[in-house]
Amino acid sequence: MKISTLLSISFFLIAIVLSSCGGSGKKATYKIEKASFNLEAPLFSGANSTQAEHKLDLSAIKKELGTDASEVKSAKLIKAVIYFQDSASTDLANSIVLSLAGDKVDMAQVAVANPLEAGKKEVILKGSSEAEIAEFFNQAMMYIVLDVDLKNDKESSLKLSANLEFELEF
Amino acid sequence: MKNPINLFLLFTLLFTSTITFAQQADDLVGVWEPSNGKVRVKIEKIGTKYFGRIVWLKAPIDSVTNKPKVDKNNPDEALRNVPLKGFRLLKDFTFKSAGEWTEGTIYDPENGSTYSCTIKMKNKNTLDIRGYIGISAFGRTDVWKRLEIKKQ
Repeated sequence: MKISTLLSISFFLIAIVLSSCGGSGKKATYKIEKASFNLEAPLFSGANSTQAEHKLDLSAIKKELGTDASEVKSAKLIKAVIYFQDSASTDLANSIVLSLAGDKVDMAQVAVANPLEAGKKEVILKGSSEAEIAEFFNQAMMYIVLDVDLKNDKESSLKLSANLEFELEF
Repeated sequence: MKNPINLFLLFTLLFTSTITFAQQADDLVGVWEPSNGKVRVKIEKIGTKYFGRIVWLKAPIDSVTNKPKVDKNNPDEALRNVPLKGFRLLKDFTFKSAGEWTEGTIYDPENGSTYSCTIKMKNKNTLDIRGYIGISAFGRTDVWKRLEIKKQ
């Protein structure tokens, strides 16, 4: 069961929500939109893994916030939605797990959906309340990893995309 | 070093060394079975590090819930619904030298604990996986064998 997957992130958007937090730091919302994943055929029933690289650039956020803070102090996943592309739907899979990985940061499991609601094109994952992921935002790049548990073998590739939203504190 | 032959030899040496290093590092990639035979773990590369996830369980169904097993002992309550099939037991291993990967962790789903871990390749088909707390002397080593998974 060989899965090799890596598609570029086609588009990402940085949205900024300025807020003051009683002197404890400034907060911003960081969005990754339409991160693309491809599970290459042939696929076998069971756990299949796919990943996408995401290059981080917080300069726009820092500029908007007016902060010269050198690093993100805390980060939290606040929204994670996975979309099945083409004619595929949640009927194909039992579960999806989202993790973040980095060359200089330990992997963190950040969200899960298990089981998946049948007949849907999108899945809202339940985020971890404890995963400490700030260090990922102090790197130049992170890997977004999806583990998809397929119900059956599949002879064609499966394409997915993800919209993620993080709250960062500087 | 102005001699073009010397330059060629230097380039060739550097090039072949790089390829050999990458090959040795990737020797870890594959499907492996611990000595207890309860799971099979596929080790893959993400970025520059190595990770192992469960691709097969001898007993995939929880006898209490009668559903596929999940990571019910995870310290993070929000992640206790993560399926064990597909779960990453081995995380963040870095290739140190020939036959040795370090700086990783191994997770025990039976108690929800994570341990520091090193991997030593005894031969192409055998791994010594040592999990420990604190220093390597206080730990336990398990022998994993390489498998070839074929479609049924």
